[in-house]
Amino acid sequence: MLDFNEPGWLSLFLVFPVLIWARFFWRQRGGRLAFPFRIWNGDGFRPQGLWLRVTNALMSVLVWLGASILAAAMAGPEIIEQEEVHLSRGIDIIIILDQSLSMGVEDHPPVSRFDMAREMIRRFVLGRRGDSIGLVSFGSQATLQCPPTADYDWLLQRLGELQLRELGDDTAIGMGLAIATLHLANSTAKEKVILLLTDGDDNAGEIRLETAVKLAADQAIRVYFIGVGEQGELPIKLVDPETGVLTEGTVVTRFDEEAFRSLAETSGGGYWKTTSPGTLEAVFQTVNSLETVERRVSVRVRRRPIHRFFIIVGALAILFVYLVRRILLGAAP
Amino acid sequence: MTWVYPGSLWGFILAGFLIAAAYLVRRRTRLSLKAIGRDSVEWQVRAFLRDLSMAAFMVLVILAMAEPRRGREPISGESYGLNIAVAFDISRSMLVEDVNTSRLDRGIAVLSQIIRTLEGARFSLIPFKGNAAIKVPMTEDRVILNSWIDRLGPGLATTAGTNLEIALREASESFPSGVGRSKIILLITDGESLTGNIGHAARNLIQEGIFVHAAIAGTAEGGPIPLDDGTYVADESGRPVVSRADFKVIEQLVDETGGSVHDLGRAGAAAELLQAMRKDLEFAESRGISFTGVYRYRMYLLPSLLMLLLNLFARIIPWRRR
Repeated sequence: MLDFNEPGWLSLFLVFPVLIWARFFWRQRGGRLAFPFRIWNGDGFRPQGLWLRVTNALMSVLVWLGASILAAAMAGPEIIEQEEVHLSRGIDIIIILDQSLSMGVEDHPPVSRFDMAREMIRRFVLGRRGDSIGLVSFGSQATLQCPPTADYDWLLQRLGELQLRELGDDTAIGMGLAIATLHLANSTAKEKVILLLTDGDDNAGEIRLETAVKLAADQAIRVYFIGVGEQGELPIKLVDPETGVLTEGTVVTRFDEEAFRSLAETSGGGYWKTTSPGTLEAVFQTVNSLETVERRVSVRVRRRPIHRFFIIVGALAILFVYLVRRILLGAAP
Repeated sequence: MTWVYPGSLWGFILAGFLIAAAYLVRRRTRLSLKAIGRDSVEWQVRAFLRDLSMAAFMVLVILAMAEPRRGREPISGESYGLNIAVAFDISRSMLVEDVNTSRLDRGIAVLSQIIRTLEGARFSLIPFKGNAAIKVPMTEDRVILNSWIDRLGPGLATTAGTNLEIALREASESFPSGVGRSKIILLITDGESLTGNIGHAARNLIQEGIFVHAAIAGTAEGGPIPLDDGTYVADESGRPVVSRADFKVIEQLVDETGGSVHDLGRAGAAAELLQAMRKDLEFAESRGISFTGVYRYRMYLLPSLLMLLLNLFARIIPWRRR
């Protein structure tokens, strides 16, 4: 929305009709060149050509338009943007995403579990307001991809950069959970939550899943387990991230639902199994509704000044007219 | 008074050409009028006044475009807590050992102390040389911050130079939108050979209500710049290049944005820096006030409009005939 920080200057426009009248319609105005025909030795006068009349009219419009824009610049034009500002501490959330080989299975072709999970995480992140959200991923190893932050652009950029199998083909869930716990441990947030998305059992890494869940529970961190995809022997198509070679085969995926449920309850969290994008989205919505805190929000008005743009456009219009009329066409001052 | 867009002042060259061309055209027209006997005093006065007013208009409007600025004014806005973007100079000159044990180590020690002391504050980390990138987004997570602080050094980036404008822009982009926290940039540098349009960067910071607290590591006497092989950076004649800390640019920046400058070579500088940052936080939280820049372009734009008016009057005011 356009606004002016000193709108009083817009009263300059009251002078414009008077000036336009004086310039074009005042009979006593000066500056007109008069001379007797009898001493004229040149060619006879011819009516102005069409192009000259059009140019003249255009130049007149342009110069008054330029002056108007400069007058508007005096009033300090600004673009007004309203921004919702969170004034209270939200929840700290870390999402742990499985990057192992089996996440390449396409339960609902052509979208793999991994891409489906990423898309749901993206929607979940964009649906949160004022919370700090981080990202840990794991394969045979685990790593923090993004610390808990309210800078969602940075987080989503990192999420988009993740590639299947770049941390190995196995499933080090315990390591992922321990890393997430480490990065939430010193948080001052009242509520701390971990969302763990995987399609397999813990089979790699130096920290067992049970130990990691206990560590999280000790830090009052709730862990939500989300089991992704069908279980059993499933076909898989994979592109090697290094060579780009497409490989087809089968992979066995399974996870112990009872163990996940029991571990989640230990930490005060929950467990869900999802087999389709729709159910995964529903799970995220459930978590979204479960993890809420009282928030204090205000609306802040941001003002982006654009007077310099007005000055440049107005000045260029006037100088262009000056260049064409006075210098190129040689009009008398 | 400083100029936010000093590049606009190049417009004077174009204005000079236009004024010279107008003068030549006026002379030629006068000769033509002489030929038909109408080279009157009236015409000469009008022509002179119109060209003069247009020349003055050009000068004034170019000055307005260059965006003069001075001072800040308060605006209301609630906030809680601190978001601190740390712009850390990792150019090779930070390896100079004119402060104990080197500028880089001194900067790291101060940063670690601040991160340890300001509980609840969130930090982002933007190491910079000729370029800058957010390595750690705004976070309260001390574990990731400390692990990145341990890695700070010239080897973290390959671009040459020390571009402060890019560093400040990246730092200001690391503040997440929609979070009602006071915004501070903590700039740790030796201030040497800083490039980029710092006035432009300052303008954006003022607009966003971002304060800059600067910690300058190094001395005016300076020292040679060590290389990895134990030798020093040398000039063409083989003499070691001496790098000296430069406070001037940073003091000018902080003067515009608000904040403070601290010489890390002095004892107690880190404590003073912490104190200054705490003061900002308390001020913003207790009074609900932040600051924005004050624009001074009207002091040139208004006279330029008056020159346009004079230009019009010089054309239309009737000439008293005797």
